[in-house]
Amino acid sequence: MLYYRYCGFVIASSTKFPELIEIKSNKGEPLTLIEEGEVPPSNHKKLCFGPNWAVGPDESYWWLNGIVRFRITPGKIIYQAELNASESLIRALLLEAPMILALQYAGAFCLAVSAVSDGSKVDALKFLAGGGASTAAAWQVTRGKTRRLHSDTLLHVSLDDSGCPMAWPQGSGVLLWPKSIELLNLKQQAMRAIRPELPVKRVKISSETGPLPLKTIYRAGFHSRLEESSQEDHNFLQGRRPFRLAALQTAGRLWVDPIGKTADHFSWCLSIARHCRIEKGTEQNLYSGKKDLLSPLKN
Amino acid sequence: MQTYWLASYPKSGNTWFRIFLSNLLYPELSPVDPNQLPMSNLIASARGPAQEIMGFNTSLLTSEESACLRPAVDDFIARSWKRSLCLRKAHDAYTHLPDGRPLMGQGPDYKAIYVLRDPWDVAVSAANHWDVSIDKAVKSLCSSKKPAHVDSDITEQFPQHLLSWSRHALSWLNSPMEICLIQYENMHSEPLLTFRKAIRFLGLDHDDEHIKDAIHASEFKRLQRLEVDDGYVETPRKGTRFFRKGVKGEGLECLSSAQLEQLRQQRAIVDKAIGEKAGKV
Repeated sequence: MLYYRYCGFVIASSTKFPELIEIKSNKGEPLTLIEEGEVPPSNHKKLCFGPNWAVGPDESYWWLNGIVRFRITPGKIIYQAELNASESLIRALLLEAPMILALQYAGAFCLAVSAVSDGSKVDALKFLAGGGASTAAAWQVTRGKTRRLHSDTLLHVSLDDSGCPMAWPQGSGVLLWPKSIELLNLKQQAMRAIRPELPVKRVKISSETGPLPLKTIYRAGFHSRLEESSQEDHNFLQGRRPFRLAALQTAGRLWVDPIGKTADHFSWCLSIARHCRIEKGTEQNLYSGKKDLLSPLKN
Repeated sequence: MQTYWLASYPKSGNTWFRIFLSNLLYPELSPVDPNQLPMSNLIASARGPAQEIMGFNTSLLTSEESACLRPAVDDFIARSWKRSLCLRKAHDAYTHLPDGRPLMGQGPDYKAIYVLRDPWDVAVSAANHWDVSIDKAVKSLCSSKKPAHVDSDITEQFPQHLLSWSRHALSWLNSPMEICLIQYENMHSEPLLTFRKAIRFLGLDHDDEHIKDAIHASEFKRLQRLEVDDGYVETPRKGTRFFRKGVKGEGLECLSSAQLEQLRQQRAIVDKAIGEKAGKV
């Protein structure tokens, strides 16, 4: 059995995850066991159904037709892949929705954000999907030089003894497209392809290893044009913004209620609202005002 | 919940219509701030909501694989819609996925208002919006070729297949769903008649006074002024405007005769189809 740390949790798997850093053992920490096996149809009446998922308090299913099906229960993920599905794509998918569900069963919630740390605190970046938050985070780490990567897509936030939000490193590098890799001059970095059909790469850059307090969430539209677009519904983020932001940007937020974690999630959002600032991303606070360094990204 | 697409080729009055509708549905907020429309701005091709609903990062998929997920996401949005009217903006042409399913659904669950604008005016406005020459915009409007999308980057929207201007219009007008066709030029020349026709199609029964008030609150000059004073989130670039002129016939003055001829052919194809449909009725 191989052990890996991901979002502050330990994954135990007979499948190798070269995207993650292997650790020696689980040291008694909460464990998610990953196995390949048969995944039965998800037709249980107690489940709440979405377009590609069925979620309930005891078991959940998540699938992409023609690629893979997952069954998630507390502490365990079983996957059944189609014969022609790329192994690295299966692993990449597993580290998203199925892990979000596994974490929620354990009472843990993630924000769907990129994040960087300065060694003492974590700043999260929430852009529009596809807006370049990963690129902005990688810029802060590799061009700004003073930060370390904390998360790319999932930021697990737990509450410490005093109720303060602590952000855990995701531990899987950053997904970047060729344009960003080139502009950030990262061609020499260690990187892995996700699948042969796509040029997106998982790039290893300087990353944090331990949890740190989450202090600020920066909101923006795109890395190259920070104003938010109106193509999505962000307008309702007016009153009680921090709470609503935490609630709406919770990874897998539609699954919280059917899993039965509504009350836990409410407290979690409240804690983030109490302790974190929400700021509009600007060239100054995201790129240190260094427009000359930002300009290549504006292409 | 019934989904109504507000479908149009880009730069054809889609935003203007949604501002009108916001003013009509939310008179207490009228005149509405275009940056904070009280009604949904959720475009069909938005990546974020799809990712939220499906629970994963769609950059792991090819654009074709992502497109195949869109109908299920749209059905889910319709099922979960909490507001009274599910009207969603769309610029995609009405196309089919490799497995034969329509990308944008079909009746009776889906209906569409299709906004048609003269292609010569679309070309001028789109050239400004896309930051390309008018000639390039005209070529885009006349090209039916589905762009060979290369998955070399990711953007905040899934790739939209527009087809040519005429095929875009025909794809919707011939789609298996109920369609209400309105023309941008009539939104200017016969606003009460045109907007009333559209809102009746949406099942709304506002009287003419309310419709007139909403039209007045959505005047193009006001929108232009607001964009200059407060900015607008969809202004394409610094020094340009989203609410640029909002007039009809601009293209007739600034396009070359060759460009105009190509677009007149496009228009003729659509006029013929509209005429045939009217004849059948």
